[in-house]
Amino acid sequence: MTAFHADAVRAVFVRTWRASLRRPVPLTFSLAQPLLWLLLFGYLFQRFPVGPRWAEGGYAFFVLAGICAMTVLFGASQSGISLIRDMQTGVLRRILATPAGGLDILLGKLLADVTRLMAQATLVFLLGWTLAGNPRLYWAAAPATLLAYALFALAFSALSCLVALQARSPEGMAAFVHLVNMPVLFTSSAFAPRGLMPHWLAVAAAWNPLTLAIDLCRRGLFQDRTVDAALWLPELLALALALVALAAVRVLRFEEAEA
Amino acid sequence: MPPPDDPAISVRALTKSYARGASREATALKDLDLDVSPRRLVALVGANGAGKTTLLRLLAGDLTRDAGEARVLGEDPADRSSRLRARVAYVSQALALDPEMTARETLRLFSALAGTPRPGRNDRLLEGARAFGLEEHLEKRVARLSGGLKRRLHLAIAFLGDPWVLLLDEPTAGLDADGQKHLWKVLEGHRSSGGCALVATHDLDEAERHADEIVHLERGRLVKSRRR
Repeated sequence: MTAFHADAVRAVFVRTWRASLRRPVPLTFSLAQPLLWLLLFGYLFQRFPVGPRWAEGGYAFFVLAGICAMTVLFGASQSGISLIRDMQTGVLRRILATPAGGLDILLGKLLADVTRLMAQATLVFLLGWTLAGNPRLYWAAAPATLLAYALFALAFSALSCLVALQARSPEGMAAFVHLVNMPVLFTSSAFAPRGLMPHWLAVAAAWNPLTLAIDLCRRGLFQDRTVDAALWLPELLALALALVALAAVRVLRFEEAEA
Repeated sequence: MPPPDDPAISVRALTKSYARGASREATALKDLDLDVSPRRLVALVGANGAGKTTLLRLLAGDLTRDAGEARVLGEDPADRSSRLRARVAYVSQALALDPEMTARETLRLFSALAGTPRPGRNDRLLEGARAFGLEEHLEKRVARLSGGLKRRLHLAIAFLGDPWVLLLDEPTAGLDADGQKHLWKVLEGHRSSGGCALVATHDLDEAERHADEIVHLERGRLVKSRRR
């Protein structure tokens, strides 16, 4: 990447972060909502038999990995909304007419969204961990856990941008968010271990990329169990790269479709 | 800049139609020939629907032509090469600004995207703001700027990357006398430094005063071209 393209990516990154910070209501809601879910689910299912490994911290600690995944999922699914706004104001067309090009714009935006989501998920995690009574954590697994969540955030943000460029309307984005978020969340291991799910749901959860990040968090960060990177990294990396590539192709074709 | 004798813009038998319904087409441009040399300001005049915007958008690579030839700085604008995007600036009639950004943030973003080197970027940004009388409004959000100031900002963005060819669609719409004065002064400076501009306008007086050539379009055809 040349200095010019790196500079263009940086400029879009700064713009995207600044726009997020200037909207305190959605930012606050995106933090308050997972904490509310954590409290409600934590109390509602406090007697849910998640197993002896969760004696310390209980269900609230168990579900924390799922709530952090939910924070990432819900936030990433709305990544494309700012693209719709840029389409409506004509800014996207103007940005794409600069020498920087669509790939720099997409990369800067995705990097900003992923880092914001990681910051939000980390904050939710620390608050949730405190609410669960500060059970023991195994910090050596933190980098791998963050990477897994970040790859999922990248994949789903890219998918959201892809849908935005295709749908081109807030209504289309809203349909995507409502249609996809809940099924993805509830067919993962966010709220229950796969061993306690009905068979068909356990199979779906095993294929759900969100489960990979959640299970890695629980086993590595919460329980100090070794998790082979080959079990999660290739799948999440391939998913993220594939969806970023599809979004990149869609950005490059955006103007042609308009013409 | 291209050699002064080579046209910066060259169009031959350019034709473009838009679909209107299942079987009908509306012709926006028909067999249009036009050359614009460096160091020239050319005004495009004509009634609504004459084809001015279509011509500008085709030259900006924003639309694809049906037939004919178009060259901008020797390249086909439909290719939308990065090199051409750095040297050609198209300013649409509709404003394209993010209402939540300040004027300074807007200029800084587009300055980076245009490839202005970081060391001199701030000076270039201030120079652009001064040229359009925006220096006192740099910290205001776009949403809080008046219509005229938004138009000035919309125009100032186009000059950040020092383009050679300017394609401006109704650039004075909504500008007060002071704003118009700023614009034409900047355009004259652009011409003096070897650049050229194709400016679509409804204001014939303005065209008469500032343009080197006035091109009349009617129903997609060039009906009259007058050099001054």
